[in-house]
Amino acid sequence: MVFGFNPSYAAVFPSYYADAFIAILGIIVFANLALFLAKKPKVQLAANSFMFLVLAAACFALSKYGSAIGLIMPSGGTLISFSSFSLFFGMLFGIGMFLINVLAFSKTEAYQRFSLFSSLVFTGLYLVSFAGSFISIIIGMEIITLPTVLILLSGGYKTIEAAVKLFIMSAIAASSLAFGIVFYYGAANTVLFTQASEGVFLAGAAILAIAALGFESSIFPFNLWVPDVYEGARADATALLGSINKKAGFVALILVLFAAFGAQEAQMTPILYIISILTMFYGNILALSQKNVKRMLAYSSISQAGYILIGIVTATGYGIAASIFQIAAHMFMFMGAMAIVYFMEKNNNEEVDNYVGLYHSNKFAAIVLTIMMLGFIGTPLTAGFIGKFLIFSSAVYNNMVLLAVIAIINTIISVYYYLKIMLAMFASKETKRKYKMDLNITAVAAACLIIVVILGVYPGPVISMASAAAASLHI
Amino acid sequence: MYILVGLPIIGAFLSLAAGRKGTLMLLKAFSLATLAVALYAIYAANEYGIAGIGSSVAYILPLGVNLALGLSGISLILIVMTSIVFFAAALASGYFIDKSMGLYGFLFMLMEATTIGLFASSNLFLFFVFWEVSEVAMFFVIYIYGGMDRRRAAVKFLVYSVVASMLLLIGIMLLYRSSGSFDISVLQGTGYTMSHGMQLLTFAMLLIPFIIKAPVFPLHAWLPDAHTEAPATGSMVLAGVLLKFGGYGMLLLFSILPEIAKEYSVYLAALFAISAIYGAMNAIKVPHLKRMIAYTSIADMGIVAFGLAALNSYGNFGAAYIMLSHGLAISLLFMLAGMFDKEFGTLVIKNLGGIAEWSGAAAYSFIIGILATIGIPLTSGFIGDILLFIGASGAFGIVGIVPLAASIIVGAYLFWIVERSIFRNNMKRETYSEYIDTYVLAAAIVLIASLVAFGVLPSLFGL
Repeated sequence: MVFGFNPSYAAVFPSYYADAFIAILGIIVFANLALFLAKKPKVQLAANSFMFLVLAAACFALSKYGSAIGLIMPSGGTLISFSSFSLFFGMLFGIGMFLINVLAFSKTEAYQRFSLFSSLVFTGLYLVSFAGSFISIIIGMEIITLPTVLILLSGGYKTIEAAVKLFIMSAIAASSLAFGIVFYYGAANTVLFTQASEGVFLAGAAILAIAALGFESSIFPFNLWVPDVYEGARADATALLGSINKKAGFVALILVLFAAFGAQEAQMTPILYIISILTMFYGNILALSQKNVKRMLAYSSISQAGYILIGIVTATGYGIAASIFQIAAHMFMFMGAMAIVYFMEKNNNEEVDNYVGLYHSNKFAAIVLTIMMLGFIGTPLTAGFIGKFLIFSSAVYNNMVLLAVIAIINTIISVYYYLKIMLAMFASKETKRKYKMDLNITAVAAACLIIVVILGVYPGPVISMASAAAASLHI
Repeated sequence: MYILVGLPIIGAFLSLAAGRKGTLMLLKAFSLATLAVALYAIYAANEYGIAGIGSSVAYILPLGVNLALGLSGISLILIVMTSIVFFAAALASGYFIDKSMGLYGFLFMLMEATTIGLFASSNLFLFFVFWEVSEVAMFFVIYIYGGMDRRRAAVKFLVYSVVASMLLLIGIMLLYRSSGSFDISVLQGTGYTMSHGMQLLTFAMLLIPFIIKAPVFPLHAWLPDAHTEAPATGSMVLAGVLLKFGGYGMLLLFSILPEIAKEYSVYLAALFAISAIYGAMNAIKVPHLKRMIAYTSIADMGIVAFGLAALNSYGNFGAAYIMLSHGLAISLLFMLAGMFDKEFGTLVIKNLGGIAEWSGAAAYSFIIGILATIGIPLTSGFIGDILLFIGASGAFGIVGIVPLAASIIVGAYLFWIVERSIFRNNMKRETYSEYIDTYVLAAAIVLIASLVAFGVLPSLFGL
C-alpha cells in the first residue's frame, strides 16, 4: 500500500492556525446567536455581511500572499489545510453567503432564524472547503445540511414536506459517507487525505463517497429529491440550496476524489463519465415539460451539475479549473435567477404563464432574468460562456470529443426551456400591472448581474485563481 | 482598430438611457462616426499599408487569448460595407421602428460592434464571441420588432443559429487542440500537422455553421421566414451583413485547412452552384416580394461561396466584392420593400402596383438595386462578377461560369416584377403617407452612391 501522505506537512503547519480558524467560525455562530436573542435583525444582517465579506477578503489576500508566510500547501495531510483550493472557495462562499443573507433579509424574526442557521451553514462550508481529512468533510456536510433543514422547516406549513425529504435524504447520504470512511480507514489506516492509490477497499470507499456527495451535488441518480425540495422551499432557501449547498457538495467531491483517492480516481473515471451524461440528459429532458419556474430551474441546475462533472471526469488540472470556474459562475447565475423568482413569488407568481409580459411590468427583473438564462445557455459575455467553453474544451483536449458533443446536444435541448421563459417575459401583455421590487432583492440581482457579466467579459484573473486552486490538488 | 468596435458599443449603452428621439440621434451619429473611421481605414490602408492597422492587447491570459483586431484586404471590404449598411439602416430606423426604441438602439449598435469585430478579429475565440452575440441580438430584434408571425420565425432562426454556433465552437476547439492557438495566422500554418481524419472532422464541423449562415441549400430554411418577419432595418442588417459571416467564415476555413478544401473543392463548388440555381428558381416561384428578395440572396450567396471554392485570389476577391455589392444592394431592396409594405399594406406581388406614380424616387431606387444585384457595369456587382468568374473558370474550366445563370434568371424575373408592380398601375390605392420619408430617401441615396462609387473605383481596395 502506498502512502502519498507527507508527514512534513504537519511539521511546517502550526496547529494554532487551525485553532484560530475554528475559533473564528465559532465567533460567527455565537455572534449570530447573541444578536438573535437580542432581536436586532438589522444589526444581524450588518454583522453577518461584515464577517462574511471580511473572511472572503482575507481568503483572497491569503491566496495572493499566503505562500510567503508558509500558509499555503497542498490539500491534505492535516485535519484543516490551507490550500489555494480552500482559499478560493472560502472567498467564493463568503461572497455567496453574504448575498444570500441580503436576499433573505426582512425585519422579522423569520429572517433572524434564517440568519442564525445560515451562519451555521457558513461554518460547515468553511470546514468542507478547508478540509484535509474525511472528518472535516463529514462534519462539515452535516453542519451544512441540518441547519438547511431547519431553515426549510421554519418556512411554514408549505415547506415542511421539502424539509422532511431533505432530512431523510441527507441522513442516508451521511450514513453512506460514514460507511465509505470506514472502508477508507481500513485501507489507508488514516482518515486524512493521503492520495491513497490502490485497493478494493478504496474502490468501495470511493463509490460510497461519490454516492454520498452525489446527494448534495445533485448528480444522477442521487438527485430525485432535488426538484421537489427546490420547488417546495421558499425561493431564498432554494437559492441557498442551489447556489451554496450544491456547490459545497462539489467541493467535497473534488477534494475527496483528488486529495483523498489520488490514483484511484482513474478507476472512477468511466463511472463518472456515464454519470455526467445521464445527469445532463436527466436534467434537460425533464426540464422541458415543467410549468413551474422553480421546478424548471431545479432541473436546469441538475443539468448544470452534469456539465460541471465533465471537468472532473477529465481529471486534469485544466478540467478541474474549468469545473471550479463553472461552479463559481453557476453560483451567481442561479442566485440571480432565484432573486427574480423570489421577487415574483412574493407577488404570488410561480408558473411560467405568470411571467408573460414581465418586461412590461418590471424591466429590471426581466433583463436580469434574461441575462441569467443566457448565462445558463452559455452565451458569450456572460460567465456561463466562459465556464462552458472551459469545460467543453477540457473534454475536447483530452480526447473526449464524444462527451463534448453530448454536452453540446444537451445545450441545444436546454435552449428550448430557457427560451420559453425569456420569450414569455418579452411577450406583450394587455394588463400592465407594475410591480415594485424590494431594495434587498434589487441589490442581490444587480450584484449577480454585474458579477456574471464581469466574469464573462474579463474572466482572466478568476481563471488564473481557479487554475491555481486546481493545481494545489496535485492531480 | 478598437475605435471601430468601441464606438458602437458606447452608442449602445448610451441609447439605453436616451429617449426615443435621443436614441435616433445617437444611432445616426454613432453609425456615421463609425463609417467615417472605416473610410479613414481605407485611406490609411492605401497610404501606409494594411498590415500596420491592427492592435492587440492581452485579454484572457490563462487561455492565451488576445484582444487582437486587424485587417486584411477582404475584411476591410466587408467592414466598409458593414458600416455603410448600418448607417443607412440607422437613417431608416425612425421610419420603421415604432416601439421600445432604447432597447432597439442597444441591440442595433451591439450588432454593429459585433459584426465589425467579427470581420476584424484576428483570433477565432473573438470570432466566436462576436458571432454568438450578434446572433442573439438579431434574434431579439426579430422577436420583439418583427411582423405578425415573428415569434415562429425568430425561434426558427434561433434553432438554426444555436446548432451552427455549437458546431462552430467544437470546430474551434478541435483546431486549438492540435495547434495550441486561436490565432488565425498561426492556424493557417498548422492545418498540415493534423491527421487526415481529424482535418476532415474539423472541416465538417466548421463548414456546417458557415453553410447555415450563408445560407446554402439545403440548410437555408430559416432565411425566408426570418426575412419576411424581421423589421425592414433588421432585414437590411441580416441580409446585408450577417449572411456575410458565412462567406467570410468559409474563406477562413479554406485557408486554415487547405488540404481538405482542395480535395473536396469540386464537390463543394457543385453544392454551391446548385444552391445558387435553387435560390434563383425559388425566387421566381414565390408570390411575396420580401420572400423573393430573400431567395435572390440565397442565389447570390451561392455564387459567393462558389467563387470561394475556386480557391484562388481572383475567386476570393471576387467573392468579397460580390459580398460588398450584395450587402449594399440587398439592404436597399429590403428597405424599399419594407417601405412598400408599410405604405401599401401588402407585399404580394400581384397586388402591388403604381409605385412609380406614388414616388418616382422609390421606384428608380428599386430599379437601381436590381441592376446592382445583377451586376450591371458601373455598379460594384459588375466588378465582383468579373473577378469571381475569372477565378472560377480558372479553377473549374468553362463549367465555372454556369452559376452566372442564376444571376441571369433572377435579373430577368426582377425586371418582370418591376414592370408589373412598379410601373403598371392596376388600381387606385390608399397609401400610408403622401411622400417618401426623407430619411429613407437619404438612406437609399447613401446606398446607391456607394454602390456606384465602389463600382467605379475598385482601386480603393487595391483591385
